[in-house]
Amino acid sequence: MTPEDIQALFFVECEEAQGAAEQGLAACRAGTQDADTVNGVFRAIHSIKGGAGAFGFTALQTFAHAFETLLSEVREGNAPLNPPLVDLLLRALDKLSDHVVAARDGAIPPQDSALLMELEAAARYDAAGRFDAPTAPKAKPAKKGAAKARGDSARDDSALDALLAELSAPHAGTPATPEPREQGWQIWMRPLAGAMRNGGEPLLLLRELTELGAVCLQCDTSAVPGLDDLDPDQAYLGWTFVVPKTVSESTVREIFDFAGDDCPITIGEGESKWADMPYRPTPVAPPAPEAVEVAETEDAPAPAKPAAPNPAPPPAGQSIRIDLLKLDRLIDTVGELVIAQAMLAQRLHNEGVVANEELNMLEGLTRDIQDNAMSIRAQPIGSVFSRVPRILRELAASTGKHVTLQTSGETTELDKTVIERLGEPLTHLIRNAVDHGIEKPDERLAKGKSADGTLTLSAEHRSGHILIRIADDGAGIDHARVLAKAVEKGIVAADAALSKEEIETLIFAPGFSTATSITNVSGRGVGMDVVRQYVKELGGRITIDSTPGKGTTFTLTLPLTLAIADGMIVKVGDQMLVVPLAHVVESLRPATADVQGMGESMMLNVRGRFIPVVSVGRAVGALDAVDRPEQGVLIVVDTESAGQAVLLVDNIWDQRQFVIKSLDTHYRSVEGVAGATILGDGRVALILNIDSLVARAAGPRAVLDTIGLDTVGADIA
Amino acid sequence: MPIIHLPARCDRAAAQALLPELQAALGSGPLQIDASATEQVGQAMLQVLLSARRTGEGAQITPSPALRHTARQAGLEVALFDRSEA
Repeated sequence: MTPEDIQALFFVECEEAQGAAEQGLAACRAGTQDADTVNGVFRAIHSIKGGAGAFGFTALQTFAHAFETLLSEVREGNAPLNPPLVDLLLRALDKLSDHVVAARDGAIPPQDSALLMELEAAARYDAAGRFDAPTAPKAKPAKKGAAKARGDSARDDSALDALLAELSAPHAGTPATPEPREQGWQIWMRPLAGAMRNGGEPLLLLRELTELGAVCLQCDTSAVPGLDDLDPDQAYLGWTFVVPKTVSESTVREIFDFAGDDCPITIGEGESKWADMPYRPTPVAPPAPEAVEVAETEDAPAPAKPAAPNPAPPPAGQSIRIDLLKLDRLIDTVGELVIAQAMLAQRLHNEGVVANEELNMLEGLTRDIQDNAMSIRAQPIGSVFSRVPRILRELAASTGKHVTLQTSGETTELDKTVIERLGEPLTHLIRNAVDHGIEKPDERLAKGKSADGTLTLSAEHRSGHILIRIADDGAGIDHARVLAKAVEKGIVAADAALSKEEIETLIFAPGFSTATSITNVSGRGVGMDVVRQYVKELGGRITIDSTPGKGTTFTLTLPLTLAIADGMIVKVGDQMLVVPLAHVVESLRPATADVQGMGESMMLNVRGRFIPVVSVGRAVGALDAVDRPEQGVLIVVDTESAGQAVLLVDNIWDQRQFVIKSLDTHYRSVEGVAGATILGDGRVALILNIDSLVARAAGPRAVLDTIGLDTVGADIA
Repeated sequence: MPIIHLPARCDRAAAQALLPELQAALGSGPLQIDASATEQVGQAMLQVLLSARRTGEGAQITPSPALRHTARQAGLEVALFDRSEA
């Protein structure tokens, strides 16, 4: 592992820790916290602080420290967890996120002095209040003082570095006054080799001790061998420190929490004996040779340990991190396996071997492997949802609309790629919901609603798809205004009679925005069409349902994975093509009377509705395709851009899962084609891009030039 | 008399890299170690320096303020830099 890798790991852990802290604070805000909630938040911040220290992100470390100090007061029950305090903690968490981003991107750390003062003030105010508490132990003020001292010195770190020259001057040679030496307690520490691995640095622990006012009494160097025998990976040193009496033991133990077993410590109770205290190995800290031995035996398991700054308790399930590339290769191989299995089945079928038990077993196992491989890539959508509270807080600050968030189905899992690319459209939808949907508090009260709006986020599995709903309880869509705006922008004709659904869909038209004034939140008119584009790129669909006065619900229908999909294999003339099942509504064999010609185009009467018929054979230029609807099979499909349409194909061959192979990487992007797959008999079949196919063919005067399937097919094969 | 220069960042990797150089330089008189450019130092490097002081004819270390500061924190100022002891 290179230092860069470890640093990348740190930022991943930061993200996880932020998520955990966000959840904990949300529970505090909702009043559902228990004893371990604050502790969990504390641990999360503590681990960020530790990592920041190890990697030298001083600003982040300083801020995390102040944050942590206040949390520690809350944890010990010294600070009442009231709404203003929770609010402060949430703001601190937001700032911490900014710090992490700045550290990751190497940017200038954000301004935090005001918030730092607030955090410190909150910790101190509570300290003042605590004196009344009858149970306040003597150690508390001491700890407070110590914590403050740590905070101060940590903040001075950057300045400190610059002033190192001065510090090294002789008069600064005794950083601590004699008093703490005389009345202090002692700590013996002996880092093991593991403490120096993975970017760990025992000297940082010493620095933290020194910042508490502790002074090194003695460094045991007796174990250091000569250069010829020296192993730079081993730890040979042991230290005795005198800690001022004013510093509590738990404060010191906290420092060593990070190193855990890698840095055993013993704390002595003795006082004022430092002058004649001889060095003695402590029961916990083994003597030097033993230390080496222990370290050696630990050699094998130690590298498996995570980077040193990881004090968070292990989560319930064990997990490992895998390079995404390896995972993708596995998925790819599984895809090939699915194809090979289908080919085998086809071959056996051709040889006259009908479905036998072994083949069924193989099919079942293949599907299991495929599902498991997919589930490795799957992540709970909660990771996306957990970013929402922050967005809402920022929106509340800029719009004055406070919104309560309700989420459900956070554990719903979907493909990592989908998760990653979901953040952007979701953020936009939420901003839109708050900015345009939810009314101002006084308007809401006037309408008899609660002053705070409610935003509901939910995710669920629904027949091979994921449904994500973003629902607000705002004003809903003003249909008349939307229509007027669309007419004004020239998107629809002035005399167009549109249904409620059609009007709602107008929101997704490029360049459409009904906001009367452009706010910095949303309303630049680039919003919803971009959102729809994002969702479409993910192979999903977005629908909208709005009730005036009650609110608006956006529903995103997303595929579970981008690598494998369900589809209908259809025969069109000399071509086998795949129609993604996501688009299919129904298929039927029409009666002659149901199809009515209108010039060159035909319409199908589906239970009273007329839907345009698109001849796939003509659209793709297949040879010998049927051209009369009554000779073939019609498939009713749903499209984003052109509503419903009917595809005319020769017949439907099969319906099964297929592995999507990108056409772009193997050939080039072809209009009307979403990709390719390999059929059981080894032939390449093109996957139709229903949207563009229908939009092209159903257009007023569609240019029905051929796509050139033969060339494409030959190239891939 | 060979002079060995220490880099600005004296972490474990630097200690690993430096050790063979020091071992090779042994036997040609007391080592001269120039650490005046050192800004950051870890335990591994401190151990190498301590070991160098003890091996053969010892070593003279010219510390930077940062190294001196760290050594003082770790209680190793005398063991590392005291000229009478070496």
